[in-house]
Amino acid sequence: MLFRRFAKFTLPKLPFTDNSLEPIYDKKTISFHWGKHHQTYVDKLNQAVGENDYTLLDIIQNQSQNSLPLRNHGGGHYNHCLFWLCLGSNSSEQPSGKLLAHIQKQWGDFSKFKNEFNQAAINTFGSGWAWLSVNPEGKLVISSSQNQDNPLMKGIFKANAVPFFTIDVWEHAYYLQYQNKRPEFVDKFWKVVNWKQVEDMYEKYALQQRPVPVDKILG
Amino acid sequence: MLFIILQLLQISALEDCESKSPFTETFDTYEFKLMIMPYSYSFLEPFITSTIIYAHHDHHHQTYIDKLNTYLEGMPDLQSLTLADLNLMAKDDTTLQKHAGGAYNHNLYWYFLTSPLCAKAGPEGPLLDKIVEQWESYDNFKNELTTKMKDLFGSGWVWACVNEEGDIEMRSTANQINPLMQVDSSICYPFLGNDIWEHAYYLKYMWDREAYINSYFTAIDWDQVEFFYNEYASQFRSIPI
Repeated sequence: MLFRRFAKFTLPKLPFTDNSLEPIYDKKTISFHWGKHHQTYVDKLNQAVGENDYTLLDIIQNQSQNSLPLRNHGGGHYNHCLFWLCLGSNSSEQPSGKLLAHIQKQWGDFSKFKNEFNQAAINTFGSGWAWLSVNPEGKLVISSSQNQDNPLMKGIFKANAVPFFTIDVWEHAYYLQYQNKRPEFVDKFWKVVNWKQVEDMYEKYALQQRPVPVDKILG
Repeated sequence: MLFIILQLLQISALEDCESKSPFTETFDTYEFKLMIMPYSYSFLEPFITSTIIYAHHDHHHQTYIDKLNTYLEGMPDLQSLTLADLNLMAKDDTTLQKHAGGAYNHNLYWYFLTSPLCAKAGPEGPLLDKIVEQWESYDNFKNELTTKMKDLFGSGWVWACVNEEGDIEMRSTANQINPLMQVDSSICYPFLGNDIWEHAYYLKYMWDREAYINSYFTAIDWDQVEFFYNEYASQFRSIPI
């Protein structure tokens, strides 16, 4: 019998229950965002990958510049995995420990950082994401991207960095509850960030310049 | 009895069709005002709901107008240009691409559309002749346009426009770019288009963009679109809207 190895990506389970982020991020939005939009990225990624044995990180970092379907759907799968990891109830509204110290060192105080990140998220025109990453020089950088592009993508992102914190500003991420009021969504997002997870990804991966293996973490 | 009721319903729908305000040419310049909807907010149902129109026109479209005016306040050289002209000038100006594009594209969108109860099934006259010449049938044209709308990634628009050779082309554009702007392409004069930004359909169709697109084809004001083709696009003119 011919044994075929091929990468098969699946929609991971959410690391929180779909109603636990209410009222800021409601169950209806979460369940459609995950069950329909993210699922579609997974399905189309599998179609695009075919029988190739790519890992998700290889797709994001290397293959994305050569293939538009891998860029769009690989990006879609990776980015949504990272987004789910950034979310959780019982948010402490800001990080602690090393990450907080690093933010304060670079921005003076947390609120200055928060404002700059918010502006990146609000001013992304059309569909896209805002990111917090660690660059090869060990600095925290805020950036934004169009569509499903990601700071790990070589040949696409001018200055590559390792992202560990993100917000989805495609309209599907907030439209049912917020409609055109993206600034309100961005403002409220801080109340549902899982800082423990974000700090973990910062310390274990981004600081070491290792891309966060989001699909493996979600399992 | 049922027959009489149905006749009465048909008559009232036809009366409503007259309620769409006719397009008139606009040569306004800075400071721009948000256009008044040419029909009631429920007129496009069931294609587009009044809740969507409230968000789309009163907020999104309004914001493009406001941001365009804010930009033009500091650009005296652009203040005497019409909205169409600003779009023709936008090749290297990303702010004009966003806000003059947004303002103009949405002006067109509201006129491309009509109630599904009033819409013809397809185009007639010289536009249909040209479509048949290039696609052999309206169905082929519609299918290809549908595919482009489904395949557009992210935010943008899909247009049917007349290129410099006088042929109809279909163009997908990102964000608020349109083919008048000649961003990375030759000019093409639009006469039909669809807004594929998620805000255009999310409150009713959510992730089901295909259903939005299928419904769109039942709500095209072909009389209006034929006029845009005959009077402007096929004459290599931008629509003064």
